[in-house]
Amino acid sequence: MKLDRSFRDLRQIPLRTTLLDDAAVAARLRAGTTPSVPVGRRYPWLSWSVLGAATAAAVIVWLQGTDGTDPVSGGPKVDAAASASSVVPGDGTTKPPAGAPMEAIATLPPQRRQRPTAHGHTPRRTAADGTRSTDCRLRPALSMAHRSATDTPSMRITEDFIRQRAVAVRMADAERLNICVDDANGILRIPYNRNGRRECTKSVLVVGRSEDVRTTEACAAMGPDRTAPVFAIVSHYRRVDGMMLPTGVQHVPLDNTDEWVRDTEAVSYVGSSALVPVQIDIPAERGDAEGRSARVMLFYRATEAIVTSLPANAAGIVSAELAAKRRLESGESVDAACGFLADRPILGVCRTASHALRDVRVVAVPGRAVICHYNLLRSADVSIAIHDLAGNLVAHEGVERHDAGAVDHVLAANLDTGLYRVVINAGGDDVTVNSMVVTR
Amino acid sequence: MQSDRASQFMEVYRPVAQRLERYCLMLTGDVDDARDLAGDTVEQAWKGFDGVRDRQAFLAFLFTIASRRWARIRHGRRGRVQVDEASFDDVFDTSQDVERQTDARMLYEALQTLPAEQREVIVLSEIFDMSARDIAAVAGCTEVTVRVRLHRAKARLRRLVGAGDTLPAPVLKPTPIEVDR
Repeated sequence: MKLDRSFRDLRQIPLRTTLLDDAAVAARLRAGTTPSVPVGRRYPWLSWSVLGAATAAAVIVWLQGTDGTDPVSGGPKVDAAASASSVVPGDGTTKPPAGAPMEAIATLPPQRRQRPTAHGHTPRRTAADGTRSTDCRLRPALSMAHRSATDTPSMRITEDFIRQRAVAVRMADAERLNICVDDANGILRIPYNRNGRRECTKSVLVVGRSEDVRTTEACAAMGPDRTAPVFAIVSHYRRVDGMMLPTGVQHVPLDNTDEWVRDTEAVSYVGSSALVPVQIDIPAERGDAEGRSARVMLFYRATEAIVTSLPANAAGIVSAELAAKRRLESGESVDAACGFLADRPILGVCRTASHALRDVRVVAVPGRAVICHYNLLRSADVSIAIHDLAGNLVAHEGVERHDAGAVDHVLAANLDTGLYRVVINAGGDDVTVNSMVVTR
Repeated sequence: MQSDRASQFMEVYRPVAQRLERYCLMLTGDVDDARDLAGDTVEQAWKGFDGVRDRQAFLAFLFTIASRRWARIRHGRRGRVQVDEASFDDVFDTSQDVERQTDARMLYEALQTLPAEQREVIVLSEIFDMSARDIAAVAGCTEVTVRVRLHRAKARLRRLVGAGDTLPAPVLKPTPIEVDR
């Protein structure tokens, strides 16, 4: 074998895919135009890259008093506007009310906790599902959600629940609740003094990319004097469709001592869908000026990332997303953009490849069908099953033979609003699209 | 104004886009990492575009950004993230020109086993045909270091793929001599 000739061959064989299409390049140019956060010299790693202005649509804060109301299983409905304008006084405990959604997720049993190493680093490994998790404390989303849903039927997170309780975050709300939300996109930045140290006496919610924001360092950045209590850090990301999407959150003990750096625990929802709900309870002592408690639900949505990485033929969903993005860019409020998106179906995206399948994308048309778009690498028998989070089979398509190539597999399914899991079996290999969100 | 700048950027970027992508793929050995790296490189190049005087050297400019960014990422990971490197079939279009793929496949797999620094140097030299001086500029080391890395990389590759040729080691394109006239 001649090395020279082999190198020449390697130079000439065309690549399988284009890494950056024009839209992706354009997105990068836009991101490069946005000024970075000035952070001073002390913490240069804090100059986070910006995911895009559309992430403003990401933040929905759900305000609810910890008064025992069950928003899903028959409790009194709370008007979104009303909940935005008032916080119901709570009992001051951090524990969510019995039967509240995600309660089981929010309270992991002790044996599930894994501590950082002696050096303060969290051990890393490849997760059981083959994805490169950056933190082994994270378990696959579905197993957690599934287990929780099995334990507590009311755990199921429905769009109805979200809609009833969700309001768009406003600066005024955050101010009223004494919260800083720092998502590295400048939604609400924590001020820095000239020494590059954060000077903030508010409670802080930090959302950042794990590559750039190392958890312990981010915590440490709050200053050795701990002037800014930290509620939670969304620091665990999973690569979805080439972009890093948040998949987890670490709660930080609220007593604001040194202990929390070493004793953080992953206690919140972990998901790989485009929508990542994160729930945080704020006790009365950390609540607003009148000592009222609140529950905050952060919905992180990387609209920009999805828009730029999807092909234009993804069954019209892209146009809906783009339209929403344009609305945001034209200065429309986050409320309006979120409301607009809520009326559209939302897709699940999965790049997990099996031996036979690649580039799986799932689009749900609520009440009618689910369209699974994928590239089949070889002829194979394909079957599709859709489960809800409780594991119930809600739709199924029997074995169907498909030739290699791009396939649009349409499955008639009358899906209600909610979260689902799609399992596509091709030639014996399963590919799972976790947590597909269907909205009307 | 901004759109003019963007169109100027795209004008010089488009012709070299594929080479940047190939470089990122060879560097990272992983399609997703390569996509991220290429995107970060474009973003960084866009930020520093006004400082680029020689548009002919834009590819080297991109390579330099990508190389340093990748070094930072590797340093940040330091064994904490396990990466399953992409197979030959993941990276290259294997549907055509099958006969030339056998050796290339072996070589690609052997390249994946090289240390990152050696891989970078040999890719720049053999696939992108760059001179030692240019490689040194991209990799941020001296020309001597480039030659040493190249020598070691080739020796290792020869062992790995059982190359029958006897390349004089180290072989590098001569650095062009600039002559003042």
